Amino acid sequence: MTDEMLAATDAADTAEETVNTAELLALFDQRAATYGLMSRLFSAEVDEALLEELHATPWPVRTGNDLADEGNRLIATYLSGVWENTLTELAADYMRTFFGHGYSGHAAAYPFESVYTSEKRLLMQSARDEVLALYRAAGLSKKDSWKEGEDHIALELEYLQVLSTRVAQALRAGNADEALAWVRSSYNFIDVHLAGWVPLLTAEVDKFAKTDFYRGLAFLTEGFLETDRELLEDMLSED
Amino acid sequence: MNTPDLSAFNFSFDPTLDIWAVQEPESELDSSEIFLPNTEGRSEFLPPDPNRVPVIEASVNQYDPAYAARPALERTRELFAQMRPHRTALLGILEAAASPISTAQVRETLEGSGRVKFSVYSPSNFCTMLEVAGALDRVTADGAPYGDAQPTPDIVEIDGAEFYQPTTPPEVCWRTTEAGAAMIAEDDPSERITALLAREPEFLPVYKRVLTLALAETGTTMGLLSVAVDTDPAVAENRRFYVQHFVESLERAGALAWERGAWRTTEAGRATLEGELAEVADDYEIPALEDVVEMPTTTDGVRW
Repeated sequence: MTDEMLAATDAADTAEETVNTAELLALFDQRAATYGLMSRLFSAEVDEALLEELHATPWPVRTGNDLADEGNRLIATYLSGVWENTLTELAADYMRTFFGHGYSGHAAAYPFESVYTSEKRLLMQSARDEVLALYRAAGLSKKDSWKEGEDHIALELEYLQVLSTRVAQALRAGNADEALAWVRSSYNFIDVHLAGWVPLLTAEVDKFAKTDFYRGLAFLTEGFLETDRELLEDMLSED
Repeated sequence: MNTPDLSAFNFSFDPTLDIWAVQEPESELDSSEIFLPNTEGRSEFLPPDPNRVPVIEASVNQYDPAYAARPALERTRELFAQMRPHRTALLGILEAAASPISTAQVRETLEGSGRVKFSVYSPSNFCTMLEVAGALDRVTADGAPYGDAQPTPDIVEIDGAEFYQPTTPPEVCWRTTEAGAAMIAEDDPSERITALLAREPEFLPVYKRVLTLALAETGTTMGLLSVAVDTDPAVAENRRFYVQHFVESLERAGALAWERGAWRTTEAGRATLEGELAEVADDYEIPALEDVVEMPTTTDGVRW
């Protein structure tokens, strides 16, 4: 995908309809923002500033993916009921969903790829080694403040955010080859890693979460990844 | 394939939220190093299989439908037993919510009473606990059930696409339920005080001393109570307890309360002094403050 990328199709049933560079840039900027949002929501509890921002955010009704639509509906509905205790409710649900508590023997929807891809549900297994190698190959190193394994869902999503930003940067610089390389990296990462275990994680989140906010996040994440994978696949197939 | 309308996603985030520090791409990648098996940070921690984890016996799962099916008064009693240090706050909320009261008003009521100590629980936390237990109903300001006001986002159109726009719900207000009112009615400090005194008969003079000192118009402090209690051989030579035990026991029973910055004897405490403790002899001479060098005379900034 070289010059074609600058006149790429919008990867849909209107494949023959071309989009201009500005639309393509907007697409990758928005992909990056969406991955950033999902990453942030998985990485830590919602704080007051973020809650205000989420409440002011319009959530799309129809994205073309039923799971993402349901996720947006659940999140927007939950946010329409915010009150004084919402931050506590969300913090408790985050802890219950991703860490577990004593009452349930700390059973939870563990947000690590290794748990879902290793035979004994162990942390820090080959999946972590693989994504760590990819991060390093992309010239990324984690901040010291991040204390969890590198195969945490928040980091894998943020990696895609970084790659999407790089695609946009490469397009802005007129470097279509580099943009194509980052698109291919994004697709491979989703295909080899996230697509394999995120549906398992989101099913667990749906089981443990008590608020529609985190249940909605699970739907949104799975749906967006499905859509994004198809989008990237279409882009690459047209190359 | 459906058209993925990614343009609909339009979020804006603070870049400082990013976890990653993006570095300049390395000019030469040492592939042999990159793809070596990485053992850094390996762990043998084995997360439990959610499907095989036994639930701890006797734990209260408030999300279990069986919990909601239990009588509200039983659940409320259970909450009060679990939250003994916060009995005063919980009861204060139930009394204040006889008619619909907002969460902000609950906060004002608790703070205005001067009886709320530092707590990790906010008024809205307490209200939620009482609601789950069935002692409070969530209502609108005019007393209508809040459940009738289910949150629903608006649907707005931006650039031809539809979006859910979260709305702001009606203010949450609270009203005490029948179970909550019954809890207020059955709250009997004298019964708890009697049970406390029966449990520790060897310390009746100590309890009498604490209540008597707290009768003062200005109340008393933990430091002064410590001088009066921790120097007593009956306590000092039987070092199971310190003054905090006696103060806390009397507070939980309802004989002593933290009010307006001091410990004060409540009406129930006065009645106990005039009744059960009237005949108890307390001949311990409290040492003068200056004679007790090592005893704390202030609360060291701690608001007991």
